[in-house]
Amino acid sequence: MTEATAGYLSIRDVNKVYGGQHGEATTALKSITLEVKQGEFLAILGPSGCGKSTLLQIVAGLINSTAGEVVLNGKAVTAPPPEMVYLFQQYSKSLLPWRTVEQNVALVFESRGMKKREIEERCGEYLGMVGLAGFRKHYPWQLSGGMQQRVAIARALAAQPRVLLLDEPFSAVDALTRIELQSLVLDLWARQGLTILLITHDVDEAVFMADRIAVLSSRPSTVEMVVDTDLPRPRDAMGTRELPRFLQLRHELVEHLLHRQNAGRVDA
Amino acid sequence: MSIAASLTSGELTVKSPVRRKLFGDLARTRLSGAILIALLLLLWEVSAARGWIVSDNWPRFSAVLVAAYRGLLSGELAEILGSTLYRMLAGYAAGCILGVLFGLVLGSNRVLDWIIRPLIEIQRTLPSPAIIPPLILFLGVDDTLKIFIIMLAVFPPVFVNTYGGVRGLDETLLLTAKTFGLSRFDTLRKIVLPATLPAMTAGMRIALSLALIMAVIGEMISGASGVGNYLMSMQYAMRADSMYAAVICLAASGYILNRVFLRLERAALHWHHSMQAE
Ligand SMILES: Nc1ncnc2c1ncn2[C@@H]1O[C@H](COP(=O)(O)OP(=O)(O)OP(=O)(O)O)[C@@H](O)[C@H]1O
Ligand SMILES: [Mg+2]
Repeated sequence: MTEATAGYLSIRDVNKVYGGQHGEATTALKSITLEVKQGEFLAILGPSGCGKSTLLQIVAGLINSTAGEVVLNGKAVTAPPPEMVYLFQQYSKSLLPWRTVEQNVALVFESRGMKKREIEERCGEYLGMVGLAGFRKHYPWQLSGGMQQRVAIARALAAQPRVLLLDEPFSAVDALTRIELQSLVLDLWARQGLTILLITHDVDEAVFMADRIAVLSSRPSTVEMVVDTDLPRPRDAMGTRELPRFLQLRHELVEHLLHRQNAGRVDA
Repeated sequence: MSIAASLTSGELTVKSPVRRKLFGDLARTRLSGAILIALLLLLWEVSAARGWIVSDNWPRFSAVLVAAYRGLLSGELAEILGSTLYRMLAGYAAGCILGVLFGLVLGSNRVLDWIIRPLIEIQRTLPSPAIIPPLILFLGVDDTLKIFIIMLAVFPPVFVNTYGGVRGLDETLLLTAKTFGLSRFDTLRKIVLPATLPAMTAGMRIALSLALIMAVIGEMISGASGVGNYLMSMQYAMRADSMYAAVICLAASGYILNRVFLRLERAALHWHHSMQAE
């Protein structure tokens, strides 16, 4: 793990209102402020529709915020920075069906003036990392959901990002594959010294993977609380989940979320 | 007697499914379509040979085939057909290129869309043959005119489908291009173009038959060459067999062009779900 540096990625008072030309204006994000250290693994928990994808896409420079700013390494993010890659919640729509698995990964190399041979080698390297070396010539639609997600991960890593933005990357795969992919991402994160922002609404996943967890309120959302997980690394799919600290944290978070949901109901 | 009765009923229940299966299999193959055509042609042959229809304008089908064969062999019909197909393909190519170009540009640029699309909407609701007479004044009666009107007929379906394809493009694909830092040109070339290809070829498929129709109509209205012109002169000359021969050659060319198109489309879109059904 790399030395954590303060003020690497700052999200400052980010607010997002979706336009109201054909219907009502939606305030997705009220005001979000978060500091992310270099090399950190931050999980963002929040109820469905609270604006998690919106927040991450703003961080990625894919959409503009209505107010506030995102600063990466001292520079305001206005367009997608090359050192940052966003992994889509709808990963199957993000893969190009007319390209093979290998060609999908090659997409990130093609504009760099690399030789065909070299591109092939690098693609093989990254597909090997996610355990798909044998599926280079397959098309994405010939693969299972979990395998497609692996391709998307391999492609994201191939872009050699310093910051990886993961939008509910494991929500569409079965429980076992999910555990496998979680360990895979943790492993790659540690080996490559990445900074990761992970969106999830799975408390278990957030506690298992992250250094810190930010909990968002429902829409219009704010940061409700931030907790340190304080769990030892490397994490183990079975062992970590049995630690008292893990159980306690999960208990606290679930209790908090349940309580809020009930409170919301009384209000409504 | 009761035994015999039970036997026959048993035979029936055994036989009929077999027979049904045989016809069912036949009906499901491509052959069934060819059989109907063959039967109709046979009816044509017989109706002329037996004198069921007595008319100078109703030659035997075999006579038509002979005329077609002679025409193609002597080169007369081949040349006529060739000039029609040449113009058709030229107009088709021009219309496809323009349709794709405008579809891509207007589909992705809102300002140009507002400026140019009203004009295109007017053009595409205008029946193409209606503008032939005024166009003759500007373009004369030569190839330019005919290629131009074919292009005008081909443009709308290609444009509308391409435009719709670009408009219906999944946002995720465009954001994917963005997050990986693809340039605008690369996004167009590597993402937008292949993603809209199924819509484009759908438009081009419709346009293919339109191109042939317009090629023949153009030749009927003006000019001195091509199948359309030949048909008219054979009609005046009362040479029914030559007239039908030209029609049959035209139908055959249209069929072959369509088959070639489908073959190419299949190769280009092998990854698309519409091609994986069979
Ligand atoms: N392009 C858009 N135009 C208008 N409103 C939008 C748009 N995208 C999202 N929204 C609205 O913003 C809110 C937040 O959406 P977002 O997709 O960010 O939620 P989310 O937290 O990622 O939800 P989920 O957990 O279901 O993925 C929703 O109420 C949604 O209706
Ligand atoms: Mg989302």
